[in-house]
Amino acid sequence: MRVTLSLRGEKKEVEFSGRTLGDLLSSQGINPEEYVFSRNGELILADEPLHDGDEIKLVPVVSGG
Amino acid sequence: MKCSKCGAKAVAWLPASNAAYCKKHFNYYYERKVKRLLPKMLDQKKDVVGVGVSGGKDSLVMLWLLHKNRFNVVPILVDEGIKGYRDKTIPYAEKLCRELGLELHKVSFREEYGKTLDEMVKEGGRNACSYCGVFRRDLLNKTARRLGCTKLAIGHNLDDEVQSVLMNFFRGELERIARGGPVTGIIEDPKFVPRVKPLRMCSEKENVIYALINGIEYSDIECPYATTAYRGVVRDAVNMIESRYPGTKISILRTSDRLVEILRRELKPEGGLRYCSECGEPSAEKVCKACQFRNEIF
Ligand SMILES: [Zn+2]
Ligand SMILES: [Zn+2]
Repeated sequence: MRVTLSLRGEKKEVEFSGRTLGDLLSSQGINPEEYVFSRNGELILADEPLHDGDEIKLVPVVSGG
Repeated sequence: MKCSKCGAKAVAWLPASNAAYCKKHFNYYYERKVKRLLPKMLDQKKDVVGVGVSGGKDSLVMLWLLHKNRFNVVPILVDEGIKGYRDKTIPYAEKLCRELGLELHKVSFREEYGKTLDEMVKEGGRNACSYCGVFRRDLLNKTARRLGCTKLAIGHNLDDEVQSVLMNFFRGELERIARGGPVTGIIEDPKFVPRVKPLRMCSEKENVIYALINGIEYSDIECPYATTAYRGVVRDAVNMIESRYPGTKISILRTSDRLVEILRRELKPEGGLRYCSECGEPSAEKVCKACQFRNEIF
């Protein structure tokens, strides 16, 4: 599956095998503790099924207060 | 994943509570947690609450919640003078204040001390976080007092608190631990505005989720001076333990709060808080840290 990752305005297309957000994260070595994830403005959790062409936004948890 | 309360689609999974929540129930869970803490820190009828805001998530969520709970709030923004960072976060604080109909009181290192933090770092021998910590503290206290605030609310989150406690513990800084707890400052003093931390039970992640759910826009860029390397190591270690043993962070904070009470009884400072011989501000030493630093740079 091909999806787009977006972090602080920067976008990157990635291909991974799997079905869910959790699969995507482990395939990319992204630590789920360090971000909150959203798609089309809605927060999603690791068990969320993804679809080809989805844009997933990574919102960093660690940032200035 | 489904909400543990209502079965709707969950937006947050909280291992420490072993619960998943939809938007509505996350808000309910989060706001209740803060509301339970507030009466221990603030008097809704009497207190004028200075609120330190930066434009980042924690301080803006805190301002939003205090305003929502009808506290008399006075937002204060300290512009340290960090090019490419603070100038980018300030508009977020201004925007939220406008939306809430609050006047934002801006003060700066440049106006107060004659130099920006960038200049201090370039000219002085210390690292940015030392200058920033000391001068922010000094300037927030003075400004809150000038504006008639009876308390000063700081947006420290659970992660900040736990990291600080452990760093102090590892370094043997018991006096610093004693200065922590829900309301800081060991002694009452007319010149020192007591500090409270309404979000100290809320993790950084919970604050991000709350901000996103409620449409609170904030700046998520990181300070170029970042946090000290040591704090980063402690943060990673705590997060690793928390992920295997959820609830560890809250437990550390509760343990520390008990310790604070014991330490405060044991470590009664001799002669109480005194005043800096140079600027007259409250100080633990003869000359306060802000004046010590100022004398080094100027
Ligand atoms: Zn629900
Ligand atoms: Zn002084």
